[in-house]
Amino acid sequence: MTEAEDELEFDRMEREADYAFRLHLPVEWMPLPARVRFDPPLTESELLRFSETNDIVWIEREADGAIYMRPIAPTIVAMYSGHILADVSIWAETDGRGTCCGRAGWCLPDGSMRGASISWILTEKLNRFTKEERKGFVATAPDFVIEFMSSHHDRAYLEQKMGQWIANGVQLAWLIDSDSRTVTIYRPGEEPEVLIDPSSIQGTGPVRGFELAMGRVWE
Amino acid sequence: MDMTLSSLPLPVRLRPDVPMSDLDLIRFSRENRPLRMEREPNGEILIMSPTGYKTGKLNLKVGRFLDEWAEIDGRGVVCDSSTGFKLANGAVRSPDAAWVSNERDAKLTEQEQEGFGPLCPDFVIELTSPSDKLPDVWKKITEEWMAAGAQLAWLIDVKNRTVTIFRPGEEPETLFDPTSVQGDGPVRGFELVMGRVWG
Repeated sequence: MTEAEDELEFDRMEREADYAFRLHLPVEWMPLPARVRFDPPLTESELLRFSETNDIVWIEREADGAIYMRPIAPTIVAMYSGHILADVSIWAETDGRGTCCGRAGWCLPDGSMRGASISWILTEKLNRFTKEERKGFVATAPDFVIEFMSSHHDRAYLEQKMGQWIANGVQLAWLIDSDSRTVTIYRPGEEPEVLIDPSSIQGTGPVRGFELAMGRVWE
Repeated sequence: MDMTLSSLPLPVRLRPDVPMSDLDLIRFSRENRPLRMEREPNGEILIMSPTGYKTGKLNLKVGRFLDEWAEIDGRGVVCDSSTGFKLANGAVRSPDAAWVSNERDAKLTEQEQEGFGPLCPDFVIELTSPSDKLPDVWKKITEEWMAAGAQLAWLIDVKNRTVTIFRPGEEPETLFDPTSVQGDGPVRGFELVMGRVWG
């Protein structure tokens, strides 16, 4: 090998060695919720791996590429979201048009990757994705989402996020706040509608026919 | 609690919404050995892979020659390539070798010495490793070290065997495959014999 070839080989080795490092992000300096940006941005598979290996944290990607991290739900929220998930899931199975997902991540048209506590998507739409694609975050918006307000949430942030769901193709989105006992309903082209202390909520649009009894949520 | 990101391609820049304090950065670096970190003036953390074998060898040699000379010369002290210097623009940078006059070294309190050195070295040496982009290193020298008050900087381009000399208020001067480079200004009397560096 000539010296020049040796140099080239070395260059190649060093370039190839230039990856595959494990990065620790200590939470002491990064109290959650936190937003960090990677440059170059994380690829889809890096983002998936990051979410999977850190499931003690809720990870999303903003439309501008920033990675948003927040704590997972506190017990009380997890309790009522569990009830609601069961209700939506049972209804979805009987109804037959759509599939209910808990804690799913969706890659939205604006470049963001958003997770919802509960989402529902037309099965026909979901079936357009291969099994392999479904192992990652599928690149579509669900048709219906439910989000919960909890103590670590910034209300303004969540309201903005609800608007983003709609802007990205979600047909119906509910924001449930158990502290104020309100449910805010978002639909495309309409102003958000606030229901105060409703005893039940009626599904419209894609989930017409679904009725969520709020008794267990407000308890 | 720690979050981890495995198989991350480097270098990568990390910009937290809440900027890292000096202490955070020291902890973050420690948690992530042997990765190398620098902080950009805008708070971005530049995360780099560990030094390659060849660069590491050359790096230590250059530092050793400078330190051997400095000890006999007696006017200043030398810091290794893992030392962080905190510049006035908020950046934390590490040159491959740095020389600081005794006078400025003595002004640092014990506490300051434990954190990132809150000063710009009088003389810095940067080596380009194969993964470095020459314009980036050039920019680091002119826009950071020289702008922050370094009196002399050398850029050793390992691949092309050139040494570029930067002095305040002067155009950089590039020497092609020199047999040795003579120190001037703060390190007058230092001679780096390049044959010993290339080995």
